[in-house]
Amino acid sequence: MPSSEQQTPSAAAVSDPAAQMMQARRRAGELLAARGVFGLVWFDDDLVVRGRFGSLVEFIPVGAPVTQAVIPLIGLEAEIRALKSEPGRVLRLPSVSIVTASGTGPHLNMMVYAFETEEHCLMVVSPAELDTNLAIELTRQIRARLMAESEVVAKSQELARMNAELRIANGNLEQFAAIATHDLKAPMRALGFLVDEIETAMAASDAATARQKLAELRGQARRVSSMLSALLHYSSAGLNKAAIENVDTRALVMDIVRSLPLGGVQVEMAGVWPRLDTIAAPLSLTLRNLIDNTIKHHDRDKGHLLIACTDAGQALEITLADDGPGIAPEHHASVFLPFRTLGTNGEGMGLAIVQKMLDAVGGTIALSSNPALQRGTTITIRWPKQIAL
Amino acid sequence: MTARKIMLLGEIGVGKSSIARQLVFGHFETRYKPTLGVDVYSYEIEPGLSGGVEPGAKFVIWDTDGNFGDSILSHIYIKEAAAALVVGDLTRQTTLHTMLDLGRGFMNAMPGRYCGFLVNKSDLVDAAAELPPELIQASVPMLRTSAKTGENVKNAFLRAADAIRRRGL
Repeated sequence: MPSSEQQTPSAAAVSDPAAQMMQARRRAGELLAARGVFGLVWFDDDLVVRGRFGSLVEFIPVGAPVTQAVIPLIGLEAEIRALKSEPGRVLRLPSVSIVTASGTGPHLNMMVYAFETEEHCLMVVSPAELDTNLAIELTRQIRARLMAESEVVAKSQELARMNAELRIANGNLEQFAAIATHDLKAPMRALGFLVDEIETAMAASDAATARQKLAELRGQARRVSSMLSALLHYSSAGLNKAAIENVDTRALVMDIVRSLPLGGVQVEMAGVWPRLDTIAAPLSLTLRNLIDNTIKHHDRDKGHLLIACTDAGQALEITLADDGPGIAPEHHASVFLPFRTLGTNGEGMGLAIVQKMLDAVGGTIALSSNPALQRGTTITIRWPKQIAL
Repeated sequence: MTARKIMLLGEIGVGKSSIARQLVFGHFETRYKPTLGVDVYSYEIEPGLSGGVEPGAKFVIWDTDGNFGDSILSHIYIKEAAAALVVGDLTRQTTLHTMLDLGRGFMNAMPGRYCGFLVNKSDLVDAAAELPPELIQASVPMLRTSAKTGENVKNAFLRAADAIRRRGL
């Protein structure tokens, strides 16, 4: 082993053929090492470098721990020391490059040997870049294929999403047409009848009846106008302009409650109300309609509404339990349809909008009530924590 | 102080090298150059940082070739690693599933070591982009990162450094 860097035998003239051959071999070694074909590093049990040979390992200082310059050996110290007890075993680190602020070093194969007869460990270093260009090209092609595949998958998903949106839009259109032709037909027909009755009253010079029918006509006209506004509101309810925000769900409910005319209904909140990254406006619209619906349809001077929230894993489960008149089981399905109301308050769009919002976000709603057994209604919605826009 | 070894694992092209370079050199390279074998960086926690990290703690970061797949888990490269940060590409769902396999593989191969998930390229995708549910449920610390903007890159390594210190690795 050389005692310091680049130590090799002198090139003194030798006449003995065997010695000449030995000298030629050493010379060949020197030339190859100088051209970076290989490099040798000797280090002791403390892993301190005692010598080196070849331009490839010139970056490794003699007298310092080998791990100082060859950082990939950090953590492998025990492994290297153990080599001495396992003759013949070699520690191989293939294709390792050390990156510093000045750039990425060459990829090197490092092999550490420990010989029973030798005091020092030997590390043989050689370039690992013989096939680099081929490997880079291969890797580039693999990456290009992966990217193309991902793009196809992404486009397919986008297409599926657009198809689903189109189906929903078509469904909404059909529903809109059905409402427009069915639910608005009755008040429009009533308007026609009233006009006929006014004409008849005027022909008979019955001013009192004509005035009464005109008042009814105004009432019907207001009702049609109100229904059209509600229908417009319902049609535009969706996620079109929704954005994910960090929502304090407790504060949201408290704001809604404060903004509504509660009358004699006392609202109580229970459970755990977390902060949630979700679409704030649709959640607010859903809760507002549910709370408003409960308050509007309460039939007594004093009432109670309990709003509770629990974490149901993938979703928040929000329950609204009131002590109002309740909803008969035969109306449970129809209350979620537009213009279906069991009382005289409102247009009957509140729960329809709630249902529509929940369909849009992938949530659910359940209703539990049977006035024949007990007063009150419990509505439970599941609002998903993750919403795809 | 002995340097600790942190592995960067993940499929090809997810941004492992960009994350390492953003952390160590503070810049992002737009030109893609695949890693062959392994590139090794050294990183030292700068003084003055809070949050349980050890100022002056040294790390060697092993940025591995994505072509290794799960064979990396039995490779000499991973020996004595104190932690692994498994990287996925938010724009390529398949890489997110691979993250899960690599993360589980690392935790099986190196019990007790820290493992974190980095969902990279967050600058390219809406923050609400969907993640596979099994990734969310994997109970592995996860951060959305952007090697381009630097978002959460240092944070991810500081978390790993803190876990290494706490676990005495």
